Amino acid sequence: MHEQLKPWEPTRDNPWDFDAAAHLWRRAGFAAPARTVKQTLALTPAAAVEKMVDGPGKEEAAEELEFVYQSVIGANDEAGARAWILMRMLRGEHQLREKIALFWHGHFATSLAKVRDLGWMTRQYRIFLELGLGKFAPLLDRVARDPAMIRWLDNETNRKGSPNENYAREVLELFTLGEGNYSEKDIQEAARAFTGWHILREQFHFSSSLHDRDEKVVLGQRGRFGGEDIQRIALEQSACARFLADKLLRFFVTPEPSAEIVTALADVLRASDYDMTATLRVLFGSRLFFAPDTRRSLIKGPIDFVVGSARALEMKKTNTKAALPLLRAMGQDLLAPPNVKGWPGQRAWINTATWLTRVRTARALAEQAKSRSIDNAALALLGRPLPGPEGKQMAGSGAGAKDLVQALLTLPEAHLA
Amino acid sequence: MRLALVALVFFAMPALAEESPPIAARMPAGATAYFEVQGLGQRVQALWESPLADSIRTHPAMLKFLASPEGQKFQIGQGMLQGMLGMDVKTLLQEIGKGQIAGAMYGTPQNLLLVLEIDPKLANRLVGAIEFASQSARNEAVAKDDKGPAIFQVGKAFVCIEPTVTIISPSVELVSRVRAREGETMATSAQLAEAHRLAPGAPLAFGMLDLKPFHKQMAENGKPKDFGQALILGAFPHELRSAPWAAFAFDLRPEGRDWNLRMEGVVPMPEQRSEKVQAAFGGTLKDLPFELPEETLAVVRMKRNLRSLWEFQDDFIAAKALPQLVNFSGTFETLTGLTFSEEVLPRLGGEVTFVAIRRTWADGEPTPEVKLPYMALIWPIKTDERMRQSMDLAFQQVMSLIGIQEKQMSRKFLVMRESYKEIAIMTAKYPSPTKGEMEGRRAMPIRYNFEPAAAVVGEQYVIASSTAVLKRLIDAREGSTKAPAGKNAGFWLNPQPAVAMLRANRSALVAQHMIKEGVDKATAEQVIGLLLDAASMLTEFSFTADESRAATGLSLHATLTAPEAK
Repeated sequence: MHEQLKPWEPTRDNPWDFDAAAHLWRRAGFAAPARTVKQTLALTPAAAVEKMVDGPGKEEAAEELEFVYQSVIGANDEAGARAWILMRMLRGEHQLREKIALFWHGHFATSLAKVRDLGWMTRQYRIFLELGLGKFAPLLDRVARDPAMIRWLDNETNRKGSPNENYAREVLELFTLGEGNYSEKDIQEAARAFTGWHILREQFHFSSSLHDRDEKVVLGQRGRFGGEDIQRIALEQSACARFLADKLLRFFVTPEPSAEIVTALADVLRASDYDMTATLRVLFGSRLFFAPDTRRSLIKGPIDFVVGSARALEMKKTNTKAALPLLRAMGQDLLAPPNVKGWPGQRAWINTATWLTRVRTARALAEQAKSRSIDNAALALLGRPLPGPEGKQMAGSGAGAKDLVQALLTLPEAHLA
Repeated sequence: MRLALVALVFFAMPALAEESPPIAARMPAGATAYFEVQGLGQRVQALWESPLADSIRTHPAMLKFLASPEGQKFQIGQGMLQGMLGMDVKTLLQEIGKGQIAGAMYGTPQNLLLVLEIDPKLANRLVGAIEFASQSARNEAVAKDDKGPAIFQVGKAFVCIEPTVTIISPSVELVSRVRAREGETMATSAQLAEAHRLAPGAPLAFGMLDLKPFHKQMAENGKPKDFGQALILGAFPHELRSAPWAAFAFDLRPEGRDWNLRMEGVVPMPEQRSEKVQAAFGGTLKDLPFELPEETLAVVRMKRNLRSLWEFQDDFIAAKALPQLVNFSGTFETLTGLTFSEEVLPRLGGEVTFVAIRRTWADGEPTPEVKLPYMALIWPIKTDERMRQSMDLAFQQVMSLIGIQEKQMSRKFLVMRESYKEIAIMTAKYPSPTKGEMEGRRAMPIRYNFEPAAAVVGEQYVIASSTAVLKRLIDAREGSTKAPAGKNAGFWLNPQPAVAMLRANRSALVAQHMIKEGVDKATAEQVIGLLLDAASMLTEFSFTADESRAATGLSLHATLTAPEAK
């Protein structure tokens, strides 16, 4: 195994301390209040990673979150459905499951703007929750058969003799291999393999009469392929593992992963048969993950910023519906990624317009903040007490607790994961 | 549903014996806002002993609250208050409310004034409690002269305890003026006299508000932002921009199992009312030419002079909203081939009625699941054949646009025409899918509370949320619903079916509360349950407006009734 992916052992210069534990919570979840981070510190790093990856056996909030889901879907309440996802992120005890669902939502970017069926869209999100930490092959297959995805990429019109290449193109370009790892001919042939993958009674339906059963040649393999075969062939490519490894590293670890570490994580992926839990266990326990340079190297997306701040400040009583316009203004509209490529992330999150909204959001969060202690708030948001001169200046400014929390939320550290 | 207001006798009840001089005689003249409370002590006693108060005290939610940590804190606070003052909250309110209470603001919030007609011993104990709570000692040295008892400061307030009244204000000058009994007082205020005339007898509270300081702001921001708002508010916002003041009276009385709440307000109109404003008043409501069913849960009625509102739109609507009217007019012409201002407006009556009627959904659950009531809009119109055809065409076109949108979702939305009791009905609906269609169905079946229907019924154009309710209104055209005398706008709520509708949506309300408040299900269930229980105590509610030549009168009436003991 690559040196950087080997299990991290705390050292004197890089100890298992509050900052390290808070870092784990920020990346493998949506942050945590100071007292939870302190509880995590009582475990060994390896045990903490295990707990984060495996999650609690039974989630107390599960039944209530399901009640809200059924209610908002029953009422066809779009804002309610988005609020439900945010509620999950805020209250969900298996934080990594919520985080990976957001990752897959960006990866398999599908938008309500075109699908226009809230039930379908949320059912797709539930696939990410259900299968997001499992193996990639079943996830890819479920998504390929998902009505929202079929409508989003027009596979309803993909039929024998008149193939529609949209779905096949995105399977190869955005879901598995990445640009440059397939040819236009591969897409044309793969599209034929997905002919007849349609919808009936709101479910996937394989329309045998509309499926092209003739021979195809895809990525060098020849046969009378169906959609399942294309998925299998794609996963067999080394480019697929590298593509996914690169995306996982950019989302969870570092904005610019080296080619070397991408290849190393790709090996882990392939060795585990694309098992996300096994791969993330290695990743979160690695030297790379806990390296000082890795911490605060990612720019928080709007959801990460809002949900993470709310969790860090123990704002359980948060009106998640009211947060939606702010998230939209900051560039992250749940169930409506901007295009098939999902949210570009990182530097794209911050511009003059979105930064102003972040400042406005900071005020809104500070208004609801429970923490009255500036030190606790600082510890939760920044991972450390305020440094001497800066802290003294803020504490001595005569500002109220809410103003101080707002000031903390506008510090660069509060926007870096 | 009975629309006519119940003739209430609140303000005709004999006045409570008031032997002391009116407290207004101690309040300096020129208040921007002023209120008086009288008879609070007796009212607190009567309310406390009423069956409704008893059912609130013994309500499971109240008992649960008292047993909760917050409830324990509340009770400890009460105990501390009792320790300091020697009386509980109810007795304290009764003691404070034995005499008159007056409050006023003079220009800015810094110039607030409160004068209480209370026993000086009680006043001293109250100040002591405030000193204890705010951890600040009184400063006796602020003002001590021969004009009366000393003025002292507690925290940011100045206080003077006289033998009959206690004066409190953040402004020492105001306290000094009251203490010295200098200058004109509110007792000579013509506006206050008007407030008294508004509610003769002994209401619990009354007061006035000087509107002149707000004129500039209202001139800039007070215009309705769209024609819909202008329609609802009529000439009222325009009048407010030049009305000198407003007066109000408030009363809350127990009567048997009921608490009757009533508010009356009056805004006098400027003497020199312009002709166009005068023209905008639509007169008083006439009886509605339909007998509304008992399950009617809400009615909104208003009489407006639409031609005047349209003609003088610059005065009645915000400038930025005016293009909306141009767009509306253009779209209307495109849809119907009729010019709105020339061909339609002169034929439209000014009485607009909106009704909501309970829908039980006994014939099957809706999809989506929100159980809304039936709704209908009734608008008088004089039609001829050409106009009726144009309106039918407009309805068809609008429905077709919805149909196109639905088709993109693989849903059918059919526009149809049928005849009922010789009246042509234009309607549109989501048809139930056939068995074959169910087999091939690609989207979820819809059973919305949305099967719009429209028809000209007599001289009324009715647009309803479903054909069923339109047919019910057609059946009801032989009867009529009384309009309250002298009113030209009003909102009447029939609480029972309204609460039944809310209860039918309880689960959705709980979920929404969980989302909006971020609370767990148990808490949301408790809050919604409490709100529904409270709502079910509401047995009558109405809000009416009466725009006459001299004044605009506003009237709110609500009755809360104690539930029968189980």
